[in-house]
Amino acid sequence: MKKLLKEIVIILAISLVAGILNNTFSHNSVEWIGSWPSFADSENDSTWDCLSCEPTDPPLLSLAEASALYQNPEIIFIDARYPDEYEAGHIKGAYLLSFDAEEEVFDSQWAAIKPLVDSSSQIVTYCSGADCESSLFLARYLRDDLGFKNVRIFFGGWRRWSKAGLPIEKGEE
Amino acid sequence: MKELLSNKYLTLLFRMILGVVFCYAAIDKIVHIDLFARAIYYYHILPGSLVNILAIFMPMVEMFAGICLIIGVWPRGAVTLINAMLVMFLIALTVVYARGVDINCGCFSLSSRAKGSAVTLIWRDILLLLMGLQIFFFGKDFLSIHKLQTK
Repeated sequence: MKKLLKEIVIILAISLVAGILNNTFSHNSVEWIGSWPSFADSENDSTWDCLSCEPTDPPLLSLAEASALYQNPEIIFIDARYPDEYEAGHIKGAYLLSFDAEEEVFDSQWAAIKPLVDSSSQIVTYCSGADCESSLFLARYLRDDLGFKNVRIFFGGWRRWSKAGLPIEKGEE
Repeated sequence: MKELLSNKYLTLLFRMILGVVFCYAAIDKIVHIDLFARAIYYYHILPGSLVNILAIFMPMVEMFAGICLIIGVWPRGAVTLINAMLVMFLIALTVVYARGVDINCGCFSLSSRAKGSAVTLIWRDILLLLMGLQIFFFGKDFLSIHKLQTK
């Protein structure tokens, strides 16, 4: 038992030193103590930032902008969450494209959407809310890998939309 | 059954699998500390002040424990740490799954297109944990530097 503890302490000590060195000299180093925003604030547009967003990313929409675009039936809303979340409730008329699901699931969902869009289609992606990133990653994928030119992100997502009392529906497409 | 479980070749195989998996999983996180910190943050589990500390040190523990397991230096200590981390990941994934949060798991790759649903990840974690437990309880120090030292 004592020997086991000794082994654990040695491995941890080596890792401690290596971690300090790596974070000191790495190009991607972080603050030792992080100051991440609290998730309690994530419902509030003004205190929430898209942490992973780069200046080159597809533009983010506020709730007002997203609901204005929603009036135009030609604009396609795509839900990036998992199928069970989508079935529990989604923006009315939105298509499901589960970005984090298995490849086969994603591909079969995409096969259903593909005939409805072309590269100039206007697309808005969303996921649960500001605490998820699949809307951003899906938007990048649609723009960079699939060549869609007009992709935007409603980063407030499902939570802000449903709280605002905007049109929703349940169940499968 | 016990004979099979304490088979030295089985332990060796599991040691190699776990060691390689942990080293491989650590590399991307060690290079991209910032992205890994973000992945941890999005699990919504840790208080913000602990996120970066975990992001800085945990990948190093993964890597050194993995190396120790492969070459057989302090293998019991290494497998204890690896099992502890696997239990931690299992709890984190289960919490995330129960809450229905969609996350980038940050398990192996930090690229945005790292796929796998929480259920798949949980099963994979359990499989690795079973290997870790076999090494811990039945492991003989077959083909390890550790054994040569103590002889």
